[in-house]
Amino acid sequence: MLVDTKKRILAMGGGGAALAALLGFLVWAQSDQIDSLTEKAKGLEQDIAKARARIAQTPSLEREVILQRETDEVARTILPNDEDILNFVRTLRTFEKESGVRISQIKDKSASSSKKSKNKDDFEKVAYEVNFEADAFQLLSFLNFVESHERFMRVPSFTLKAAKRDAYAGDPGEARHEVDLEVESYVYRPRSGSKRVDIDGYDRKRDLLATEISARQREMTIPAYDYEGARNRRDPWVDPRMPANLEPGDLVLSIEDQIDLVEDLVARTKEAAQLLDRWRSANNLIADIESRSVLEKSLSALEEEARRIEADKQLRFIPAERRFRVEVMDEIARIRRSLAETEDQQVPIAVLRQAVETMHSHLAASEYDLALEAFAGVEGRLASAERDPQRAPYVEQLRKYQHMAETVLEFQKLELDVRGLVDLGPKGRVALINGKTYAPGELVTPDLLLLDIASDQLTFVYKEVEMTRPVSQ
Amino acid sequence: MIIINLLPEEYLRARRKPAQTLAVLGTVAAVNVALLLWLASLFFGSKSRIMGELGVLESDMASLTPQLAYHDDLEKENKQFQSREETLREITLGRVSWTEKVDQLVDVINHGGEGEKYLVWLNDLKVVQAVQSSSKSKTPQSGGTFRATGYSGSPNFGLVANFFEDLTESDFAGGFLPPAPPQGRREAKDEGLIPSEIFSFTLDLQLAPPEVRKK
Repeated sequence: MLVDTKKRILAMGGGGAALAALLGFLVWAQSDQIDSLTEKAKGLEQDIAKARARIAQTPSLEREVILQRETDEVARTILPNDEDILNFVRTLRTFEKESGVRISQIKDKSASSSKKSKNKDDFEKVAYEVNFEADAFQLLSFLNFVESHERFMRVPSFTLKAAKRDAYAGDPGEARHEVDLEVESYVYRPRSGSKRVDIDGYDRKRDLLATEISARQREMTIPAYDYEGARNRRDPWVDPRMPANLEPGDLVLSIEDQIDLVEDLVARTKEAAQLLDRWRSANNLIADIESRSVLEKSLSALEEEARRIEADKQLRFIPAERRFRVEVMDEIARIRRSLAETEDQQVPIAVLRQAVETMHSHLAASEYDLALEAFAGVEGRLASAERDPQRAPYVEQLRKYQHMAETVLEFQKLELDVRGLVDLGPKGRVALINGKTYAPGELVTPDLLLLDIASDQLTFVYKEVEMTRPVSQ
Repeated sequence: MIIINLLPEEYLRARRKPAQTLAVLGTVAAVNVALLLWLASLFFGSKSRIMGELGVLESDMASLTPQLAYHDDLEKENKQFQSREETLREITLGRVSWTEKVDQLVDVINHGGEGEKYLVWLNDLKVVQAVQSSSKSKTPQSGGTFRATGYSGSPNFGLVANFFEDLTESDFAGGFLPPAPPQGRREAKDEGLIPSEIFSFTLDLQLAPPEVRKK
């Protein structure tokens, strides 16, 4: 009986302890689960916070993507497409024609640079090597066509080898240098994986960003250089030295003399420009006529000298010649253009008188071409002057001189083979022309009359102009 | 009625529960009750509260997920664009307008007067633009080279220095690192040409790196 009681107590104690252990395990398990859930909740809270922070950036990201999409459209227009690449060679041919260079070879260099092009993701490099001959300004023009083309092209390298002096000894303008030039571009081919996200209200959002889009598009657009041509500058790859020994009969001027000559002409041209300003600011008719007359006289004399210098090729020193072109010839042309604006106004008598004197001076010096150039200077204004009785005699004289100069030049072109003279004693002389004998007063051609035969010269009348030529030329 | 226990003393002592046993049993019972209460509090209190919170958080997260996916898609597109833009920037940044540079060089050479200041002409020109380096080296690299050999039409080499001075002061110098000082060699006298005495020289310029050029 006593033993049973003890057993019962022990059983109760053991059972109670087992129950406590079970409950303890359950409490531990629940606590663990709660801890895990708490951790999960904390993690989720952090994730939500991060997500909210990222979502807060969505509007700015959206804005950036819209800006990039719009500028991407500009990239598409700047960089060449496949069709442009096919037309690349045709484009180079157009540049060749317009710049005046002479292309000798075009080599596709894209293959050799394929390794590099792979690194450029959506961009495929296309490169050509172009060999051509050109002077400095043709090269500049060609470069300008390449670099200012609507599709992006760049020149990563080029070499120029100057033409040998012997190749252009006669005319520096003939110098053609050897140029090797590399032209490259990138074709834009976006990868197929680049799917565009559908942005809600895209058009509206894009319109709100119009200013920024324009600014970024402007940043991407490559400004082209405004190349203004040779502007009478000398080619730096042309040897500007002048030969020390010229051909016999050439008018040799030292470099110093050439510089002085141009200096003098430049001073006179500046004076003519001042006369032009004075004429423009004349405030009455008399001052107008007087200043115009002085200007025309100064300009005609200047033009006459400039023509002589050009005709005689007196300027061999290239810097002097360039200065003569820029500061004298171009300036004279500018003054003439200003005067031409008043072509409809009556030409002053002083101008006509000056033109007559200039033509007379040229004719007397047998400078028939220069006489015609002087006539060309006033020819445009003669039509109205012809109707004015005071000016008509000058116009008539100018036209007479023009006719004489033209006739002499025409006569020089006639093929007259004068073999000799035959003295017939009291009956006079006959001339052997083109295999036939002609006496004075006989027609050699329907327009050409043999007027007189002297011992050493023949006098003809050709188109009503009397002229003499030596028997032997 | 009063009942008395008439059992002998030794029996009564044997039947009486010891105080220690009772204390142990009581403690076990108390612990069990406490554990039971704790368990109930954990299950019905803390756990259900956390489960509720978790439900709310999961619901919040679920509502954010589409926005997050949209953000991720935008970010992906943005990265692709940035990569393209960077490449395009590299391509365009590396471009030098050689028309402008050569035109400016022609200007400077033509500004030598009629030989009073300098009379210079060139024999060749070699321009090589360096390939853009991907390294992030802090030391500035050359963006390329611009080399020419030329002549000065004077026995006075000082005129070459005049030319270099004009060159470095002109717009042409923009984008180039300062040139090396002029050095040259007197050429053989040629009596057939005027001027007969000339000096040859080398113009050697380094193009500044693109980042420096654009500043």
